[in-house]
Amino acid sequence: MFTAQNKLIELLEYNPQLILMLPRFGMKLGFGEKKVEQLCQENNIPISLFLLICNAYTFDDYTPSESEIKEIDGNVLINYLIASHDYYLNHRLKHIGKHINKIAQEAGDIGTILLKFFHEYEKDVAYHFKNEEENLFPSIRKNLAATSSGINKIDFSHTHENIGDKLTDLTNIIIKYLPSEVMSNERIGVWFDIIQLTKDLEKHTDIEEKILIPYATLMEGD
Amino acid sequence: MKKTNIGIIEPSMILTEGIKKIIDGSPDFKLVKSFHGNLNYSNFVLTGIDILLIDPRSITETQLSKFIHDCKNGNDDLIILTLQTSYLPSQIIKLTDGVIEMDDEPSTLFSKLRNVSKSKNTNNESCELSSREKNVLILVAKGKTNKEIANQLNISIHTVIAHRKNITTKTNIKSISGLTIYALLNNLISQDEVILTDSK
Repeated sequence: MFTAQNKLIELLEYNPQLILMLPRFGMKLGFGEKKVEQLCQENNIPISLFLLICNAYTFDDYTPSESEIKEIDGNVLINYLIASHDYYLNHRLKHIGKHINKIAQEAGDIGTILLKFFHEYEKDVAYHFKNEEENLFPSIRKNLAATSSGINKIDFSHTHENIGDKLTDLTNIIIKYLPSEVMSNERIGVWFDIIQLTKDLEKHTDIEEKILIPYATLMEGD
Repeated sequence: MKKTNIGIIEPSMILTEGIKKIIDGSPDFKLVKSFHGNLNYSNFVLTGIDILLIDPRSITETQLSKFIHDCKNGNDDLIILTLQTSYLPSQIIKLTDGVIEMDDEPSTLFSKLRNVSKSKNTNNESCELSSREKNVLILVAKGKTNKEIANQLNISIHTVIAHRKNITTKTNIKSISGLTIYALLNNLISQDEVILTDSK
Protein backbone atom coordinates (compact mmCIF):
# COMPACT_ATOMS: atom_id res chain seq x y z
CA MET A 1 0.00 0.00 0.00
CA PHE A 2 1.26 3.47 -0.86
CA THR A 3 1.90 6.07 1.86
CA ALA A 4 2.48 9.83 1.88
CA GLN A 5 6.19 9.13 2.39
CA ASN A 6 6.52 7.35 -0.97
CA LYS A 7 7.96 9.38 -3.82
CA LEU A 8 5.45 9.97 -6.59
CA ILE A 9 7.79 8.29 -9.04
CA GLU A 10 7.70 5.14 -6.88
CA LEU A 11 3.92 4.97 -7.26
CA LEU A 12 4.21 5.39 -11.03
CA GLU A 13 6.91 2.76 -11.33
CA TYR A 14 4.76 0.31 -9.43
CA ASN A 15 1.63 1.11 -11.43
CA PRO A 16 2.24 3.11 -14.63
CA GLN A 17 -1.52 3.65 -15.04
CA LEU A 18 -1.37 6.07 -12.10
CA ILE A 19 0.08 8.70 -14.43
CA LEU A 20 -3.59 9.28 -15.31
CA MET A 21 -4.20 10.60 -11.78
CA LEU A 22 -1.97 13.61 -12.36
CA PRO A 23 -4.12 15.61 -14.78
CA ARG A 24 -7.27 14.55 -12.91
CA PHE A 25 -5.92 16.14 -9.72
CA GLY A 26 -4.29 19.04 -11.53
CA MET A 27 -0.72 17.83 -10.82
CA LYS A 28 1.99 18.63 -13.33
CA LEU A 29 4.86 16.56 -14.69
CA GLY A 30 8.43 17.45 -13.79
CA PHE A 31 7.96 16.55 -10.13
CA GLY A 32 11.51 15.26 -9.66
CA GLU A 33 12.10 13.14 -6.57
CA LYS A 34 9.35 14.74 -4.49
CA LYS A 35 7.25 12.73 -2.08
CA VAL A 36 3.48 12.39 -2.37
CA GLU A 37 3.06 14.44 0.81
CA GLN A 38 4.96 17.43 -0.54
CA LEU A 39 3.38 17.34 -4.00
CA CYS A 40 -0.13 17.18 -2.58
CA GLN A 41 0.58 20.14 -0.30
CA GLU A 42 2.04 22.16 -3.17
CA ASN A 43 -0.98 21.45 -5.36
CA ASN A 44 -3.60 21.83 -2.65
CA ILE A 45 -4.75 18.23 -2.91
CA PRO A 46 -5.96 16.38 0.22
CA ILE A 47 -3.22 13.77 0.80
CA SER A 48 -5.52 11.11 2.23
CA LEU A 49 -7.92 11.25 -0.73
CA PHE A 50 -5.08 11.16 -3.25
CA LEU A 51 -3.64 8.06 -1.56
CA LEU A 52 -7.05 6.48 -1.17
CA ILE A 53 -7.70 6.75 -4.91
CA CYS A 54 -4.20 5.61 -5.92
CA ASN A 55 -4.50 2.60 -3.61
CA ALA A 56 -8.02 1.68 -4.75
CA TYR A 57 -6.83 2.10 -8.34
CA THR A 58 -3.85 -0.19 -7.85
CA PHE A 59 -4.80 -2.88 -5.34
CA ASP A 60 -7.92 -4.82 -6.34
CA ASP A 61 -8.49 -6.15 -2.85
CA TYR A 62 -8.25 -2.81 -1.12
CA THR A 63 -11.48 -1.49 0.32
CA PRO A 64 -11.17 1.70 2.37
CA SER A 65 -12.37 1.60 5.97
CA GLU A 66 -15.26 3.66 7.25
CA SER A 67 -12.96 6.05 9.10
CA GLU A 68 -10.90 6.64 5.94
CA ILE A 69 -14.06 7.33 3.97
CA LYS A 70 -15.38 9.74 6.57
CA GLU A 71 -12.29 11.93 6.24
CA ILE A 72 -12.78 12.54 2.53
CA ASP A 73 -13.46 15.94 1.04
CA GLY A 74 -16.46 15.04 -1.12
CA ASN A 75 -16.11 18.05 -3.38
CA VAL A 76 -12.56 17.11 -4.32
CA LEU A 77 -13.64 13.52 -4.96
CA ILE A 78 -16.42 14.68 -7.27
CA ASN A 79 -14.04 17.02 -9.09
CA TYR A 80 -11.76 14.06 -9.65
CA LEU A 81 -14.60 11.96 -11.06
CA ILE A 82 -15.69 14.77 -13.39
CA ALA A 83 -12.12 15.21 -14.63
CA SER A 84 -12.03 11.45 -15.32
CA HIS A 85 -15.26 11.68 -17.32
CA ASP A 86 -13.77 14.46 -19.39
CA TYR A 87 -10.69 12.39 -20.11
CA TYR A 88 -12.72 9.35 -21.23
CA LEU A 89 -15.07 11.29 -23.46
CA ASN A 90 -12.92 14.02 -24.90
CA HIS A 91 -9.56 12.28 -25.08
CA ARG A 92 -9.70 8.48 -25.09
CA LEU A 93 -12.93 7.94 -27.00
CA LYS A 94 -12.04 10.66 -29.51
CA HIS A 95 -8.69 8.98 -30.05
CA ILE A 96 -10.21 5.51 -30.42
CA GLY A 97 -12.85 7.01 -32.73
CA LYS A 98 -10.11 8.18 -35.10
CA HIS A 99 -8.75 4.63 -35.36
CA ILE A 100 -12.22 3.14 -35.84
CA ASN A 101 -12.89 5.71 -38.54
CA LYS A 102 -9.83 4.61 -40.49
CA ILE A 103 -10.72 0.94 -40.09
CA ALA A 104 -14.31 1.63 -41.10
CA GLN A 105 -13.23 3.38 -44.29
CA GLU A 106 -11.41 0.24 -45.40
CA ALA A 107 -14.10 -2.16 -44.29
CA GLY A 108 -16.69 -1.24 -46.91
CA ASP A 109 -20.36 -1.62 -46.06
CA ILE A 110 -19.67 -3.17 -42.70
CA GLY A 111 -17.60 -0.07 -41.84
CA THR A 112 -20.70 2.09 -41.73
CA ILE A 113 -22.29 -0.24 -39.19
CA LEU A 114 -19.08 -0.43 -37.17
CA LEU A 115 -18.93 3.36 -36.96
CA LYS A 116 -22.56 3.50 -35.99
CA PHE A 117 -21.92 0.96 -33.23
CA PHE A 118 -19.05 3.04 -31.93
CA HIS A 119 -20.98 6.31 -31.98
CA GLU A 120 -23.85 4.63 -30.24
CA TYR A 121 -21.43 3.52 -27.53
CA GLU A 122 -20.03 7.06 -27.24
CA LYS A 123 -23.57 8.31 -26.77
CA ASP A 124 -24.31 5.70 -24.08
CA VAL A 125 -21.22 6.71 -22.14
CA ALA A 126 -21.91 10.42 -22.52
CA TYR A 127 -25.46 9.87 -21.30
CA HIS A 128 -24.27 7.87 -18.28
CA PHE A 129 -21.74 10.55 -17.32
CA LYS A 130 -24.19 13.38 -17.91
CA ASN A 131 -26.69 11.70 -15.66
CA GLU A 132 -24.12 11.47 -12.87
CA GLU A 133 -22.94 15.04 -13.38
CA GLU A 134 -26.40 16.56 -13.53
CA ASN A 135 -28.21 14.47 -10.94
CA LEU A 136 -26.04 12.33 -8.67
CA PHE A 137 -23.11 14.69 -8.05
CA PRO A 138 -25.20 17.82 -7.42
CA SER A 139 -27.38 15.96 -4.92
CA ILE A 140 -24.25 14.78 -3.07
CA ARG A 141 -22.86 18.33 -3.09
CA LYS A 142 -26.18 19.60 -1.81
CA ASN A 143 -26.08 17.13 1.09
CA LEU A 144 -22.52 18.23 1.79
CA ALA A 145 -23.64 21.81 2.23
CA ALA A 146 -26.82 20.94 4.12
CA THR A 147 -27.32 20.76 7.86
CA SER A 148 -28.19 17.30 9.19
CA SER A 149 -31.93 17.93 8.92
CA GLY A 150 -31.67 18.91 5.26
CA ILE A 151 -29.99 15.73 4.02
CA ASN A 152 -31.83 13.89 1.26
CA LYS A 153 -31.71 10.26 0.25
CA ILE A 154 -29.72 9.64 -2.91
CA ASP A 155 -30.61 7.33 -5.79
CA PHE A 156 -27.58 5.35 -6.94
CA SER A 157 -29.34 3.07 -9.40
CA HIS A 158 -27.76 4.62 -12.50
CA THR A 159 -24.25 4.46 -11.07
CA HIS A 160 -24.29 0.68 -11.45
CA GLU A 161 -25.08 0.70 -15.16
CA ASN A 162 -22.51 -1.24 -17.08
CA ILE A 163 -20.61 0.84 -19.60
CA GLY A 164 -17.89 -1.72 -20.24
CA ASP A 165 -19.78 -4.50 -22.05
CA LYS A 166 -19.94 -2.78 -25.41
CA LEU A 167 -16.22 -2.05 -25.32
CA THR A 168 -15.57 -5.76 -24.92
CA ASP A 169 -17.93 -6.38 -27.83
CA LEU A 170 -16.02 -3.84 -29.88
CA THR A 171 -12.64 -5.49 -29.23
CA ASN A 172 -14.08 -8.87 -30.17
CA ILE A 173 -15.57 -7.56 -33.39
CA ILE A 174 -12.39 -5.74 -34.38
CA ILE A 175 -9.96 -8.55 -33.59
CA LYS A 176 -11.95 -11.74 -34.09
CA TYR A 177 -14.70 -11.06 -36.58
CA LEU A 178 -13.74 -8.31 -39.05
CA PRO A 179 -12.39 -9.88 -42.26
CA SER A 180 -8.65 -10.63 -42.11
CA GLU A 181 -7.70 -8.31 -44.94
CA VAL A 182 -8.81 -5.09 -43.20
CA MET A 183 -5.88 -2.95 -41.85
CA SER A 184 -4.26 -5.20 -39.28
CA ASN A 185 -1.81 -2.64 -37.83
CA GLU A 186 -4.56 -0.15 -37.16
CA ARG A 187 -6.59 -2.90 -35.51
CA ILE A 188 -3.69 -3.98 -33.33
CA GLY A 189 -3.16 -0.37 -32.26
CA VAL A 190 -6.77 0.20 -31.35
CA TRP A 191 -6.86 -3.11 -29.44
CA PHE A 192 -4.34 -1.73 -26.92
CA ASP A 193 -6.25 1.54 -26.68
CA ILE A 194 -9.54 -0.19 -25.97
CA ILE A 195 -8.04 -2.62 -23.44
CA GLN A 196 -6.43 0.27 -21.60
CA LEU A 197 -9.69 2.23 -21.56
CA THR A 198 -11.65 -0.83 -20.41
CA LYS A 199 -9.30 -1.26 -17.44
CA ASP A 200 -9.45 2.43 -16.62
CA LEU A 201 -13.26 2.41 -16.73
CA GLU A 202 -13.36 -0.65 -14.48
CA LYS A 203 -11.25 1.19 -11.92
CA HIS A 204 -13.44 4.24 -12.28
CA THR A 205 -16.50 2.13 -11.44
CA ASP A 206 -14.56 0.60 -8.52
CA ILE A 207 -13.80 4.03 -7.13
CA GLU A 208 -17.44 5.02 -7.38
CA GLU A 209 -18.54 1.82 -5.66
CA LYS A 210 -15.80 1.63 -3.03
CA ILE A 211 -15.48 5.31 -2.21
CA LEU A 212 -18.22 7.57 -3.59
CA ILE A 213 -21.27 5.48 -2.72
CA PRO A 214 -20.11 4.53 0.82
CA TYR A 215 -19.18 8.17 1.36
CA ALA A 216 -22.58 9.49 0.29
CA THR A 217 -24.36 6.76 2.21
CA LEU A 218 -22.41 7.54 5.40
CA MET A 219 -23.41 11.14 5.03
CA GLU A 220 -27.07 10.16 4.90
CA GLY A 221 -26.69 8.15 8.09
CA ASP A 222 -25.17 10.94 10.14
CA MET B 1 -11.44 -16.61 -23.62
CA LYS B 2 -13.46 -16.00 -20.51
CA LYS B 3 -11.65 -16.77 -17.27
CA THR B 4 -13.26 -18.80 -14.54
CA ASN B 5 -13.66 -16.51 -11.53
CA ILE B 6 -12.62 -17.84 -8.15
CA GLY B 7 -13.66 -16.53 -4.74
CA ILE B 8 -11.97 -17.49 -1.50
CA ILE B 9 -13.03 -17.40 2.13
CA GLU B 10 -9.94 -18.03 4.22
CA PRO B 11 -9.02 -16.56 7.60
CA SER B 12 -5.30 -16.53 6.88
CA MET B 13 -4.15 -13.57 4.82
CA ILE B 14 -0.85 -15.28 4.02
CA LEU B 15 -2.59 -18.35 2.63
CA THR B 16 -4.99 -16.21 0.63
CA GLU B 17 -2.18 -14.19 -0.93
CA GLY B 18 -0.27 -17.37 -1.79
CA ILE B 19 -3.27 -19.00 -3.44
CA LYS B 20 -4.07 -15.77 -5.28
CA LYS B 21 -0.56 -15.66 -6.68
CA ILE B 22 -0.80 -19.22 -7.96
CA ILE B 23 -4.31 -18.86 -9.39
CA ASP B 24 -3.69 -15.52 -11.09
CA GLY B 25 -0.65 -17.03 -12.78
CA SER B 26 -2.94 -19.19 -14.88
CA PRO B 27 -4.62 -17.83 -18.03
CA ASP B 28 -7.82 -19.76 -17.26
CA PHE B 29 -8.55 -18.61 -13.72
CA LYS B 30 -8.66 -15.41 -11.75
CA LEU B 31 -9.11 -14.85 -8.05
CA VAL B 32 -11.65 -12.05 -7.99
CA LYS B 33 -12.84 -11.92 -4.41
CA SER B 34 -11.32 -12.80 -1.08
CA PHE B 35 -12.59 -12.66 2.43
CA HIS B 36 -10.52 -12.97 5.61
CA GLY B 37 -11.41 -13.07 9.23
CA ASN B 38 -14.63 -14.24 10.71
CA LEU B 39 -17.32 -14.81 8.20
CA ASN B 40 -20.51 -12.92 8.55
CA TYR B 41 -21.95 -14.30 5.39
CA SER B 42 -24.60 -11.68 4.94
CA ASN B 43 -21.92 -9.36 3.58
CA PHE B 44 -20.12 -11.77 1.27
CA VAL B 45 -21.35 -11.06 -2.25
CA LEU B 46 -21.20 -14.01 -4.62
CA THR B 47 -21.91 -12.14 -7.83
CA GLY B 48 -19.45 -12.98 -10.56
CA ILE B 49 -17.92 -15.98 -8.79
CA ASP B 50 -17.88 -19.37 -10.56
CA ILE B 51 -15.97 -21.39 -7.98
CA LEU B 52 -15.88 -20.60 -4.26
CA LEU B 53 -13.11 -21.99 -2.05
CA ILE B 54 -14.01 -22.03 1.60
CA ASP B 55 -11.87 -22.88 4.58
CA PRO B 56 -14.29 -24.36 7.15
CA ARG B 57 -12.26 -22.65 9.90
CA SER B 58 -13.94 -19.42 8.78
CA ILE B 59 -17.25 -20.44 10.23
CA THR B 60 -18.73 -22.70 12.91
CA GLU B 61 -19.72 -26.20 11.89
CA THR B 62 -23.42 -25.59 12.37
CA GLN B 63 -23.33 -22.42 10.30
CA LEU B 64 -21.33 -24.01 7.52
CA SER B 65 -24.09 -26.14 6.07
CA LYS B 66 -26.53 -23.24 6.18
CA PHE B 67 -23.97 -21.01 4.50
CA ILE B 68 -23.40 -23.51 1.69
CA HIS B 69 -27.11 -24.01 1.30
CA ASP B 70 -27.66 -20.24 1.08
CA CYS B 71 -24.85 -19.83 -1.45
CA LYS B 72 -26.23 -22.53 -3.72
CA ASN B 73 -29.71 -21.18 -3.41
CA GLY B 74 -30.25 -19.04 -6.48
CA ASN B 75 -26.74 -19.75 -7.81
CA ASP B 76 -27.28 -23.12 -9.47
CA ASP B 77 -24.00 -22.90 -11.36
CA LEU B 78 -21.85 -22.07 -8.34
CA ILE B 79 -19.28 -24.67 -7.40
CA ILE B 80 -18.04 -24.77 -3.80
CA LEU B 81 -14.80 -26.48 -2.80
CA THR B 82 -13.45 -27.08 0.68
CA LEU B 83 -10.05 -25.59 1.36
CA GLN B 84 -8.53 -28.10 3.73
CA THR B 85 -5.80 -26.78 6.02
CA SER B 86 -6.01 -29.46 8.71
CA TYR B 87 -7.89 -32.70 9.35
CA LEU B 88 -11.60 -32.39 8.65
CA PRO B 89 -14.33 -34.97 9.34
CA SER B 90 -15.82 -36.38 6.16
CA GLN B 91 -19.30 -35.02 6.87
CA ILE B 92 -17.89 -31.52 6.49
CA ILE B 93 -16.10 -32.30 3.25
CA LYS B 94 -19.23 -33.93 1.88
CA LEU B 95 -21.07 -30.62 2.12
CA THR B 96 -19.06 -29.21 -0.79
CA ASP B 97 -18.32 -30.28 -4.38
CA GLY B 98 -14.69 -31.24 -3.72
CA VAL B 99 -11.53 -30.56 -1.76
CA ILE B 100 -8.39 -28.54 -2.32
CA GLU B 101 -5.67 -29.56 0.10
CA MET B 102 -2.88 -27.38 1.42
CA ASP B 103 -0.31 -29.92 0.22
CA ASP B 104 -1.62 -29.93 -3.36
CA GLU B 105 0.90 -29.00 -6.02
CA PRO B 106 -0.23 -26.05 -8.20
CA SER B 107 -0.72 -28.51 -11.08
CA THR B 108 -3.05 -30.63 -8.90
CA LEU B 109 -4.91 -27.50 -7.86
CA PHE B 110 -5.46 -26.51 -11.49
CA SER B 111 -6.54 -29.97 -12.61
CA LYS B 112 -9.08 -30.05 -9.77
CA LEU B 113 -10.39 -26.59 -10.71
CA ARG B 114 -10.55 -27.59 -14.39
CA ASN B 115 -12.39 -30.80 -13.62
CA VAL B 116 -15.13 -29.12 -11.65
CA SER B 117 -15.53 -26.24 -14.11
CA LYS B 118 -15.65 -28.68 -17.03
CA SER B 119 -18.49 -30.66 -15.54
CA LYS B 120 -20.38 -27.40 -15.42
CA ASN B 121 -19.83 -26.15 -18.98
CA THR B 122 -20.65 -29.28 -20.88
CA ASN B 123 -20.60 -28.11 -24.47
CA ASN B 124 -18.06 -25.35 -24.06
CA GLU B 125 -15.54 -26.61 -26.58
CA SER B 126 -17.54 -25.86 -29.71
CA CYS B 127 -17.58 -22.20 -30.69
CA GLU B 128 -19.70 -22.74 -33.80
CA LEU B 129 -23.26 -21.61 -33.36
CA SER B 130 -25.85 -24.35 -33.80
CA SER B 131 -28.46 -23.82 -36.48
CA ARG B 132 -31.07 -23.08 -33.82
CA GLU B 133 -28.78 -20.51 -32.24
CA LYS B 134 -28.25 -18.94 -35.65
CA ASN B 135 -32.01 -18.63 -36.11
CA VAL B 136 -32.32 -16.95 -32.73
CA LEU B 137 -29.39 -14.65 -33.49
CA ILE B 138 -30.97 -13.54 -36.79
CA LEU B 139 -34.17 -12.57 -35.00
CA VAL B 140 -32.24 -10.81 -32.23
CA ALA B 141 -30.35 -8.83 -34.86
CA LYS B 142 -33.64 -7.87 -36.48
CA GLY B 143 -34.65 -6.31 -33.19
CA LYS B 144 -37.22 -8.90 -32.08
CA THR B 145 -38.01 -9.34 -28.40
CA ASN B 146 -37.60 -12.68 -26.61
CA LYS B 147 -41.36 -13.14 -26.68
CA GLU B 148 -41.58 -12.53 -30.43
CA ILE B 149 -38.69 -14.92 -31.04
CA ALA B 150 -40.35 -17.59 -28.89
CA ASN B 151 -43.60 -17.26 -30.84
CA GLN B 152 -41.96 -17.28 -34.22
CA LEU B 153 -39.76 -20.32 -33.55
CA ASN B 154 -42.42 -22.06 -31.54
CA ILE B 155 -40.23 -22.51 -28.46
CA SER B 156 -40.53 -21.27 -24.88
CA ILE B 157 -39.10 -17.96 -23.71
CA HIS B 158 -36.85 -19.97 -21.38
CA THR B 159 -35.33 -21.73 -24.35
CA VAL B 160 -34.83 -18.43 -26.18
CA ILE B 161 -32.99 -17.06 -23.16
CA ALA B 162 -30.84 -20.20 -22.95
CA HIS B 163 -29.95 -19.88 -26.65
CA ARG B 164 -29.07 -16.22 -26.19
CA LYS B 165 -26.84 -17.09 -23.25
CA ASN B 166 -25.01 -19.66 -25.39
CA ILE B 167 -24.65 -17.23 -28.27
CA THR B 168 -23.03 -14.69 -25.95
CA THR B 169 -20.73 -17.31 -24.41
CA LYS B 170 -19.62 -18.53 -27.82
CA THR B 171 -19.13 -15.14 -29.49
CA ASN B 172 -18.21 -13.18 -26.36
CA ILE B 173 -20.54 -10.42 -27.56
CA LYS B 174 -23.23 -9.16 -25.20
CA SER B 175 -24.95 -6.12 -26.70
CA ILE B 176 -27.69 -6.41 -29.31
CA SER B 177 -25.92 -4.04 -31.67
CA GLY B 178 -22.70 -6.03 -31.29
CA LEU B 179 -24.56 -9.24 -32.12
CA THR B 180 -26.08 -7.52 -35.13
CA ILE B 181 -22.62 -6.76 -36.49
CA TYR B 182 -21.61 -10.36 -35.85
CA ALA B 183 -24.66 -11.59 -37.79
CA LEU B 184 -23.85 -9.23 -40.66
CA LEU B 185 -20.19 -10.25 -40.79
CA ASN B 186 -21.22 -13.88 -40.94
CA ASN B 187 -23.78 -13.22 -43.67
CA LEU B 188 -26.67 -14.34 -41.52
CA ILE B 189 -28.59 -11.18 -42.34
CA SER B 190 -28.24 -8.49 -44.97
CA GLN B 191 -27.60 -4.88 -44.32
CA ASP B 192 -31.06 -3.62 -45.26
CA GLU B 193 -32.64 -5.88 -42.64
CA VAL B 194 -30.77 -4.10 -39.88
CA ILE B 195 -32.03 -1.37 -37.65
CA LEU B 196 -29.16 -0.54 -35.37
CA THR B 197 -30.94 0.70 -32.32
CA ASP B 198 -30.10 -0.79 -29.02
CA SER B 199 -32.63 -1.25 -26.32
CA LYS B 200 -29.96 -3.00 -24.20
